[in-house]
Amino acid sequence: MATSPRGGLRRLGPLAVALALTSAACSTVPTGGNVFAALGERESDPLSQPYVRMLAATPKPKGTPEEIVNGFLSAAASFDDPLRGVARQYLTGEAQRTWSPFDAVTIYDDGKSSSDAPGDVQQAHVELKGAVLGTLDGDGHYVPSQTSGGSVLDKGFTLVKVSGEWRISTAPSGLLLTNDDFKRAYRSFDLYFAAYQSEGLVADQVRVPINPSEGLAKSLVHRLLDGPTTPLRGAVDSAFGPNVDVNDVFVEGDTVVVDFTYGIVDSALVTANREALSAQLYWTLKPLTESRRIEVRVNGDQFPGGPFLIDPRDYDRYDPDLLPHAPKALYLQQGKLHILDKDNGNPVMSGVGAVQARQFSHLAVSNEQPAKVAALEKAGGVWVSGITPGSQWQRWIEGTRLTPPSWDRYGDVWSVSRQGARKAQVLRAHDPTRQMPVSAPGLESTDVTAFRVARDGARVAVISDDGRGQSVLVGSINRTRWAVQNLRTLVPAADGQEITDIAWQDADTLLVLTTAKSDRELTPWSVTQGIRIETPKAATRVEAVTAAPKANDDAPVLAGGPDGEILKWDLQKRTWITLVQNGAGAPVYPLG
Amino acid sequence: MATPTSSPGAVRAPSRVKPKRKARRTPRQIARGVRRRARRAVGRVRRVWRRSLQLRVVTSTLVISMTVVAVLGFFLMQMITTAVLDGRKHSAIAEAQANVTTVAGLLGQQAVTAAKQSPSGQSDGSDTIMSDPVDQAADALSRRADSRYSVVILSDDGVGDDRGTGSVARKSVTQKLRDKVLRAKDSPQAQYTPVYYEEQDEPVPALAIGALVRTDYGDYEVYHFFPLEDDVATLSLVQQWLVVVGAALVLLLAAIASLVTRQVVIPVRLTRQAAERLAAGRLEERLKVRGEDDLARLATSFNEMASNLALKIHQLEELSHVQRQFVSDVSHELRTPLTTVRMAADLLYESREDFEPAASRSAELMQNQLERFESMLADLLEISRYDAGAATLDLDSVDMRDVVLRAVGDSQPLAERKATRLDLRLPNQPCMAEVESRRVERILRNLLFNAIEHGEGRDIVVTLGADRDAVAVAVRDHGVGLKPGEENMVFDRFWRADPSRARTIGGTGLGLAISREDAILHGGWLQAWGLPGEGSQFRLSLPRQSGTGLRGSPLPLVPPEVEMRRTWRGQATPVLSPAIEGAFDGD
Repeated sequence: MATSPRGGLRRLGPLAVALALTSAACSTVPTGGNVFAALGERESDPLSQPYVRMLAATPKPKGTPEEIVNGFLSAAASFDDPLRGVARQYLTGEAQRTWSPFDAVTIYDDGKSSSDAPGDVQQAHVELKGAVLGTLDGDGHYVPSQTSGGSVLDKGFTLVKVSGEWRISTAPSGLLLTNDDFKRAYRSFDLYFAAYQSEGLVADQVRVPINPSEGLAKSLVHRLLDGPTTPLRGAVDSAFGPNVDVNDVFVEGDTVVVDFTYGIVDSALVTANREALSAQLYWTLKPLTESRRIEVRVNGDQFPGGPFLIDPRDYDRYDPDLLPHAPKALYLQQGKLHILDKDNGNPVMSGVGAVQARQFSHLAVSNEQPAKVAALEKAGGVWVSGITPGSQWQRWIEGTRLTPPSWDRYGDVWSVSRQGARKAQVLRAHDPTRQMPVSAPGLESTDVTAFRVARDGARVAVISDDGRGQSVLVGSINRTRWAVQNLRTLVPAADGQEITDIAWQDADTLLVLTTAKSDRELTPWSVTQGIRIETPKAATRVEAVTAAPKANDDAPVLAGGPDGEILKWDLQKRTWITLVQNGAGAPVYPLG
Repeated sequence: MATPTSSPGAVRAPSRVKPKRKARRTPRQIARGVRRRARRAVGRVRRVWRRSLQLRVVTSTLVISMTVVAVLGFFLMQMITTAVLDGRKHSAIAEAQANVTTVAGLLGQQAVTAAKQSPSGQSDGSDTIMSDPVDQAADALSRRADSRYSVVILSDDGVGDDRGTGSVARKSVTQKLRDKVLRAKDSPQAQYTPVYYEEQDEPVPALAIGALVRTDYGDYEVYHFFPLEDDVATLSLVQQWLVVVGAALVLLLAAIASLVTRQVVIPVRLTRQAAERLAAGRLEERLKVRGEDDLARLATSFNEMASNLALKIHQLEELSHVQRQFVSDVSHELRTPLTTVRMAADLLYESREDFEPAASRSAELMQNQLERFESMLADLLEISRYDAGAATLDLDSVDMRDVVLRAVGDSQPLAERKATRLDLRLPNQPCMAEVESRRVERILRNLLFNAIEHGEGRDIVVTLGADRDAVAVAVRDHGVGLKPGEENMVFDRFWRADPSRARTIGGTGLGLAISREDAILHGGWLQAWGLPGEGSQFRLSLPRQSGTGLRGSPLPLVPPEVEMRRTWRGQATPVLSPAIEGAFDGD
């Protein structure tokens, strides 16, 4: 080395390069190698959804009365402060004691506050004006304002100066939320309850407040345990007993664990109840859990007698929409029952009994296996026939001025007998032997032209006229007392407006066909929210409609035209397409 | 060596009785005991530390490697932390800037445009189309952030315009960051800060990035909080690994140092042991030579040195033997002519009165010198017998007082001639001892002649002492005494304190040497003490039972009066027996 340093360096060169290369290769991320399983923990809580919170701010120093009132309203809308401690800082000492934020929740929009405070006084008055959109019941049920534009909000605040700063001395009790606040603080969810004595579910939409300390899933299960909202009370069952509470909801691997108190064991004693409970839990949590399995635990321990696992696939049959994926619509043509199936030339269903001399219209199809069809006979009465060979038409409901029949999921056929002006009687029949009257206090003194039981069997929609014009009412059926109850207006009466037909699309959506002057419109309404879901479709040539859940090309909205046409609403072209030229009766999907 | 044996016993005595009082020890005693034990432990450690090269090397390696590993680990950790956080920071800043641009666009627009859609805006359940620009902005950010980070929007200008996404708490925004953001206007600011969430008490370390969005309707501060939990977990894992690896490295280095020193120390230790054995006289001791390294060469050299030494010692022994043989032979050979000379001299001496006075004087002189020559020859023969190891003891139990008296009687004429008084101090009881009285008498005679010769006419004290195991005779004169270092030389053959002085009483110069050999033959000691001007004392100590070793002497070597003046320290002759034994071993 010492004798020939240059030779030594030359020998060391490649070695140094190799060293550098290997060390560089070691220190970086590998660019090849074996394939390995890409399993791992999920980053975030899958049960939570992103949300925005109002951060309650303390009163602005030297704020004007309007600023104080606006700050107060904002602070009161901050839902992570359960006692509204920050909002109370806007109040005088006296008002802090008297103001009760939890009396009611009013949702308003277009709020404008105006002050009458002249420059330098000790008292000021601020008026908050706006449009009331609705209120929120204590049970999380949103009640939209009855009038279409919303009633007028007019709330007054009195402010006084406390050590140089304006403070509110009188504030209206209850929470006043703007539409934004409401959307921010609440999430809309469907709760599912067991249908009355049946393997099925009924959806019930509620607003669940976002509680950062609890988590959305737990809030939702909590709300589920509280039972149905007022409109459905009595019409549905809950498989959860009264003494059940939820401890926690969390994700463990691919399973969502719902931890209940010990009361859940009593609720799940009976197998049917346990199934219903599982279905309720799965369907309610479905938007959050997606397709994960759910495990029920009791106070953190395994369910007594083996793990209580809810596999999503087992409960798909509880779908509250009931109908299969692509349901077939039926229609009557010259006394024959046709299946609307254009590809196969609309075949005749042969098993239905002979029509003979009777003239049937207004078909209804049940969802039983095998199904039954009901129709209104021109001379009066609701006639029913099976579709199996040898079936006969039998009269189930007698009467002259009956509304078109409507099947429910239990195999009952419903109709309303118009027994004179402003006098109606709801009738129900399960077989030809007996027709039973059903009490309907809200309908007795109205003129009912349509009565439709929803596919979930719990809700009804009625076109009634109490003398102020036709309106659509929505209510529920109490099957223990046999009554149509909790009726409230969905589509209010309007001048010159006639409601031609209604049809249930799914548990929440009702299609309403209105005629005003010469325009005819088809509007989907949300029953639970009480608002139009979409803008109206023009429906000039439509006289009757029917719809199936998840309206798509397989189950389009169908309509009957004036000359025996059958029309289909094309979603892409957004127009009506003729399926049958003439001579056909209005098409119907099963139930609804 | 004789006196210290008793002192440790005296010191240790209290500790031996200690167990008896164990039951009632006072705290002070306990403390003292602990202190003592600690001191002893420290002493032991210090001893081990001084003696073990291995321990010292391992300890210093440990200390140095620990320091190096700690420093390296610290810098490595700093670099990793910086690298990890830098990557995170870059992506966070990029994301935050993109978000701020979006927010600026949303906040800049008029509230009315969105509000118009509001009444019918509730399509398919996504009821989140807000009318307020702040809500729109916060909503957009919350969707984009999901749960990866949190955003807080604050506004001092508007009322009720503060928003947060997820459960981030307002107090996460530090006043320091706010001030900085408000002052910096256009450039975003970042800070590492804990972020608080509503549902949990413990904050999470996070990177906060704040930016100011200025619109026509007011200024909005947008704060992004990127939680660093994962990075913190990664870093703490790295830190743990660094600590573990560092500790392992230090231990490994210590083990290596221990191994290496062991490899060096063990041959050195073997060499030392071999050298000790060699020094103890086992000249056949050799080291095993393994390999060809330095240690092997050390062993080879050691072995060479040992064999050379053995050779030299052997040669010297041979030479010594030859010389002794020569002396012995010369002595024998001289006797025959000497006998003839003696007979002739006797004849001359007896008829000296017939001679002229001068011739008569010569005959007398010759007679004297012949006698001296004879006794010298006898001494030489005697000593050569010792050298040849041919001297044997003819033991008999005798009363030492008789032996002393006989020796004194023999010396009396000389003493009278020198006008020296002999002072005898004998015990009353008989002092029996197993000795060969002829040899002991010779010793005593020699001592007495020596004392008379150097006593300068002053009194000579002869003391006999005895105890259970031993008897001793001390001969004290008050002559010139001995200079320091002469205590041993007096026993050398033909040694003279003053070479210029003539021997007056015809000593052969071998007397003390023979006396010493005699004492050793008995298993006893012959020791000398002296101080210039103080005179000297010779002490003969003999075991009562032949064959038993001597432990002490009944008489002090230093005369009591001198010791009382406490001037003896440093002048005392070391006990000779070990030295003598060593010397004989060496032969």
